[in-house]
Amino acid sequence: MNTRALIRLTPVAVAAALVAGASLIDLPGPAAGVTPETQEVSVTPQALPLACPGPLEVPVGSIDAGDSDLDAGSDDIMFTVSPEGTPMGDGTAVSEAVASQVERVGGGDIGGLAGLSCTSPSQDQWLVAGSTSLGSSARLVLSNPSEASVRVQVSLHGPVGQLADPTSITLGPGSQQSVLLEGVEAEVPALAVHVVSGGVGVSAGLQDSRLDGFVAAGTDWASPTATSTDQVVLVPSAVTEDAPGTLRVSAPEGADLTLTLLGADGTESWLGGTAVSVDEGAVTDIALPAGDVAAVRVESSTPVAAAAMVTVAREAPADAGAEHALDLAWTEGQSGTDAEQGVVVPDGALSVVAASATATHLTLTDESGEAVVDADIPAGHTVTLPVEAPAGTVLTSTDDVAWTLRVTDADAGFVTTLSPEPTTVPDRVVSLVPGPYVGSP
Amino acid sequence: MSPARLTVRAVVVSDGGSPRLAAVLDAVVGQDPVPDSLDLVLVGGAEPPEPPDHPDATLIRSDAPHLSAAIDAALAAHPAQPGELLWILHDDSAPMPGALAALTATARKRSRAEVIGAAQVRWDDPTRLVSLGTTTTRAGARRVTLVDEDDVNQGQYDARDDVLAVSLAGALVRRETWERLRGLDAAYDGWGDSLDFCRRVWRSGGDVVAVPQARVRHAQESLYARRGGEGQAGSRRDTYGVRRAAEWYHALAYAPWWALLPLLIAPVASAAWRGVIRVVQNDVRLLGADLAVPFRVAARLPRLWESRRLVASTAGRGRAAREAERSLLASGRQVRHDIRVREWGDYETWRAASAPSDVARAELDHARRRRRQVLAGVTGAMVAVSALLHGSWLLAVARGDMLVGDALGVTDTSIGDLWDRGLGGWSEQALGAPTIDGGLAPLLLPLALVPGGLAVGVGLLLALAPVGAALAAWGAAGAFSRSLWIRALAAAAYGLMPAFLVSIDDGRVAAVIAHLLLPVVVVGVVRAGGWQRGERLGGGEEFPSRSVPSSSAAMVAALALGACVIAAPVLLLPAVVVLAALAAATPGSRWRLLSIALPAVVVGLPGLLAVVQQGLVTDAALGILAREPGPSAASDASVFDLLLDPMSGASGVPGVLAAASSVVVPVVLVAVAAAAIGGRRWRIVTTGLAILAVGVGIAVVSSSTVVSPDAGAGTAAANGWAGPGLSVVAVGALMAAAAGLDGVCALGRGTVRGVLRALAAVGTAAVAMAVVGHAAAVAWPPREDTSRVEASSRDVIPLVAALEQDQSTRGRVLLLDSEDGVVTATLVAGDGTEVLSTAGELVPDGRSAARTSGATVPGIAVLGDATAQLLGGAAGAGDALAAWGVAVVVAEPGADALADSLAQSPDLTLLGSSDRGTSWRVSSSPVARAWVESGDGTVTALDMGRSAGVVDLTGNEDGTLIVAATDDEAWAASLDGTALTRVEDDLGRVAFEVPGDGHLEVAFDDTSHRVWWWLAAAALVWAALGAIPLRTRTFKEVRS
Repeated sequence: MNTRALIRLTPVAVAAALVAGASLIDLPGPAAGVTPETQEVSVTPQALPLACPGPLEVPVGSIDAGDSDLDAGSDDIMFTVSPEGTPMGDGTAVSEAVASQVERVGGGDIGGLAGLSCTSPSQDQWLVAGSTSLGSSARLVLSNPSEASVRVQVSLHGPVGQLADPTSITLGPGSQQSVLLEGVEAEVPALAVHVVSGGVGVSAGLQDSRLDGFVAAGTDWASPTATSTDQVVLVPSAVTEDAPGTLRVSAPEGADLTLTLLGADGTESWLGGTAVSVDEGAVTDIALPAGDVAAVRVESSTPVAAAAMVTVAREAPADAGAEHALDLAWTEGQSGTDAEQGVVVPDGALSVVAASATATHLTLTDESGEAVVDADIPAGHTVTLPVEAPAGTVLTSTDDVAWTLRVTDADAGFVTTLSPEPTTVPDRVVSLVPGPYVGSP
Repeated sequence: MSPARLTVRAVVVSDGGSPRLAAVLDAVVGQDPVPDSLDLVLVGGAEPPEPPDHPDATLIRSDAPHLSAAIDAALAAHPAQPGELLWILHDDSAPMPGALAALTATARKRSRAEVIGAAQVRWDDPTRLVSLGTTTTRAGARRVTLVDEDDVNQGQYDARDDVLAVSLAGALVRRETWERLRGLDAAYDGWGDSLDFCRRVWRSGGDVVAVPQARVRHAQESLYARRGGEGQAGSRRDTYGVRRAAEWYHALAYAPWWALLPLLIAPVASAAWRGVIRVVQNDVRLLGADLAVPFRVAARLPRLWESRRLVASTAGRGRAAREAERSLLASGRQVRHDIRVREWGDYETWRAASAPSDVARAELDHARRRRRQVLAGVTGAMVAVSALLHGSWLLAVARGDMLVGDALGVTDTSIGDLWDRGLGGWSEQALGAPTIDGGLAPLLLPLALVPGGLAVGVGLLLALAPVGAALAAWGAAGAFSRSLWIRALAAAAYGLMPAFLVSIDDGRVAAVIAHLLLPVVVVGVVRAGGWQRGERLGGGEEFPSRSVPSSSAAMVAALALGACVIAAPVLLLPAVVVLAALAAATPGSRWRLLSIALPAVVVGLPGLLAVVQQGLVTDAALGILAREPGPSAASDASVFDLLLDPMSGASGVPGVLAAASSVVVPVVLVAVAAAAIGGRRWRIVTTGLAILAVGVGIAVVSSSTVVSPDAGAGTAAANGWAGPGLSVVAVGALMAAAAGLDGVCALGRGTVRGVLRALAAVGTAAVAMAVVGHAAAVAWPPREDTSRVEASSRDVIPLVAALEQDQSTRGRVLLLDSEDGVVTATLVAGDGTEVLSTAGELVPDGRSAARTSGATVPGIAVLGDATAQLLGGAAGAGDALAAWGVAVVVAEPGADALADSLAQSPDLTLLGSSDRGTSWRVSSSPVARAWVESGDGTVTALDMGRSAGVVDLTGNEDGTLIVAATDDEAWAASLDGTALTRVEDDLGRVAFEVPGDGHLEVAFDDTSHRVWWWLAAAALVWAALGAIPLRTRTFKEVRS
């Protein structure tokens, strides 16, 4: 073969070398781009007044039937907001660290004790309570104690998931609005309300009133709760056949739940240890087993909002068509925190119901720093502790224990709970990330 | 009155520099009649030749500095006789037999003829004319010859007699005239002194007559700069400068006094204009000569007074003589003819000589018709595909919208901003940053000149990029193959290369530009080397049979390469290496090939300097080398995935077409392999494969390097895009395939040819099916749109916010959006995020790549706390925002919750709400880009431009000037012209101490950047001028 022919082989040799090179050499792969760092900035918001929703309303209006047993309303009403604040709509704005509202209605459709700790505005909150079945009324009360308008999106969730599109409500500065949810979506036996708002947020409360025919089946205020993957829901009253209790869970993203019952004698088996699944956006009611005061530890695969409803049965008026009248109390799930939390003590028979999955200690102090309650909480136990404190005392705790102040009127068969609220406005974390903006085509 | 007998005194002057002296003397003594006397003047110790065979020959030695003095030396030795004629001869001008007789006959006949000139013919070919009389323009600044040089003497000029001037070499001059006019003017240094002498003759009442029958062989050794011996390599270009200077001097000497000033300016203007022409002609030597002319003229000016007095004192008859002279001055037509012949004569001769025969011309015309038909077909198909692919973009651009994208940013930057960005070197991204170079600004400026502005320019560029790429590839393929099949397929495959389409879809403007221009570089380089294929004629010939290297093509390549390097700086070093290798392999075109790299090197110089400054082999240096001016977006596909099939997975395409689309690149690579195996035109094929390999390397380096963030420190930074490297791969493949497969059909004989033809047909069909299938898949209307670019209104931010930016305070705008609880913050100085021209080039850890100071460029993160305070309902954010010149905060459309939060902030005042968002003014007074804070707390805002501002200060004491921008060494401030002292600012802003009142100016003034900008502009303009194929215009004239 002559040189000329050899030279003509150059391209094929180069091509072969190329292919060999490309397959033999381990070429570096594409570098990962640098995503912009998300800045987490914690901000202490300006303190805003706490908002208390105001008095209960009788769902059907105050109808005077002439027979005191059948009257819808009642003249025996005791409504206290402690400490006192300034009116805001029908409710009250209180510029203090903690406040509570307790109302005792002696009879009628909404007879019972209804109370809640007043809350500061928040942007994203769940109210896991209420029903719009026949005889039930759910009244959402939104308060905006700030000085700017706020847009609020309210979406309702029921057993089948999210119901309809969110309702948009605009609240003027220092105003309050209430929404009868049965007018939005009727016949929802288990309701959860998701309240999302802009700005610094709104305060929300939900009045859950139920009737069994002409007999009161309970009324209470429900407070907002946050979603969490591990929380303890107190069951602050004994569950019996006559006075059933329910655990309600709303899973915005759908979740598998593991439920553990923390009884007075420690962890108890329940539901055969099986896990419960909740569909995305759905709300599930789980009947609580009969038993004494307890708590349920809810562990979930995704964040869920949970609350427990307990009832106390009392004798129903004769010929009212029902054996028992009930009062109900909603207690929101609590996920652990060691931030200072507190409640304002109202009049009435008081006790603290506390539970913890781990062995710990609960100390409740009053304003002077004196311990009002000081007790060990064994792991997996729920304990009930008597409280002796004058009305208006602020009980605070910094222990990582789920606790609630149970207010009862044993004679009348009324109950309500006041769950602790943070005494300081928690720092808000704003996540910032730089990004381009080329308009919204 | 004439004496009865004329005596002729032949004066031969020599400085010994010509070997032709003996021949000249022989020619003189061989005349019939012989001159009455012969004086040989030897100047400067020249060797005497053999004594001439003449009865009255005198040898005179002289040290005269010029011809006139030498002749005077001869005359001094002999008293004048009545009717004496001087026959002036140079040592390189030999009279032909009968010359003297013809001259003296005319002298006798024309008694007023005082200078009788001979026709000068070529020394080696007396049938060719050199000169037969000259004239000049009215201004006198251009010598015009009256015959075309090298014209064949067929007696066509025999009727010529009176002329303005003749060359005195071989001319008879009456001795009385010579002495009256005091000989030649020495100020001319031998160039144009004959013209001057003859004009003075006319003005003094004498006639100047040319005698075509008298012929003198003239070697023109001075003109060709060959004095000093045979074989001296010289050309008339060597004497061009002095001749031009002499022409201007002539004009000055003859101009009326009022025309002197314009004539002093004229050489400069003329040199400038001619300089441009020389650049266009790629004639560096004449460029130098032309630029030196004004200096040469200036050097002669001291002698001008003397020359003008000489003209004035020897001019005699006044108006009548002027009339006669004027009628002999060159007409406009003569001047035009002279220019044409002189400037383009050689080229015309060559083109005419190499013009095709009639038969070949018919074939060429046929080929051209077919070529045009196919080209029209390919263009039409590509336009159709582009319209189907991105018709919505075209419509959007037509209705006045612009294209935007997260990577692309907004695209309606004004031409003024682009210019400022390019020239100033200050990027307004985030809080501002110094830049390495002008980014994409130099390439965007021409696009911004499109009617409708940059938005239209970029829109058309992106939407029609496949058409442009196909046309460029058609041209490039044509340099290697004249097969229309190969060219059409190469054009379509290149124009619709999958990775390129992804570049377009992503809005990667720089990669698109590089893809469009790389084939142009290839055509330019190939033509600069003279390696292009000629048109195939019947019988296996090509036209032209030999390709001539073209300097204009080299400049086309240089311009395109310069633009490519602006778009993709990573291409610079490989391009220089490839060109150097080509130059090393081609000694004949070495400098032409190297000159192609020059503009690219100038353009890329700051980048290279930055690489060196950042330490050559560091990550930072690599990041600079692979930097992407303009948009960038991360891509996690490997280089080979991007090359082979980056578009797979787009839904909505029928399976067959999707399959064709996914095999189009492999099929083309198989064709390349076939070309390599064939082994034909191995040099080009090997070069193509080498370029392909280089392209893979570039692509790998790009994609494995993280480049600078587009929108300022702290924003997303992507890895480099492999697109430009893959475009290089495509160009290499195109070269190898087109060159290696060209003419396969015509190879071999008999069975071999049959087999080859069948193979070629099958191969062509396979490639064609893949390419057409791919085109159909791409253009398939129901195909899922994978584009990351969309059309949007040109106004992006709310009008109230834009108005705030347009004020002289030039407040910035902070745009906020919220998604899944995370707030996206954007800081803009203009109408939306602009990344096309920005790129302040940051190296890792947020330092500026353009500086070695190591200071971190603050990004939007410095506003994080303030932004969070705004949103979190805390007070006190206003001052922090105002400190960085943020005047307006905007909640983007849909971010209602955010808007509610902002509404709560005590630091904001609502400006208004619209469908472009809700705007609040930062209530801190006053918010400006730059201000002076006086000692007593008074704040005065500056009138700010993009990177400079002014204010007239009154009542200021011990103030501080703050510019709410990243501090950089190039910021400078002055108060009434006095430079101010820099002070440290806690936030890292630009700060100066302002001691008192006065006119305050502050500006980003980066001298080295500006110098580079103008250098680069000059290099590119030079290349653009040189790319003009000036000479082909004359070729067309010849053909018509």
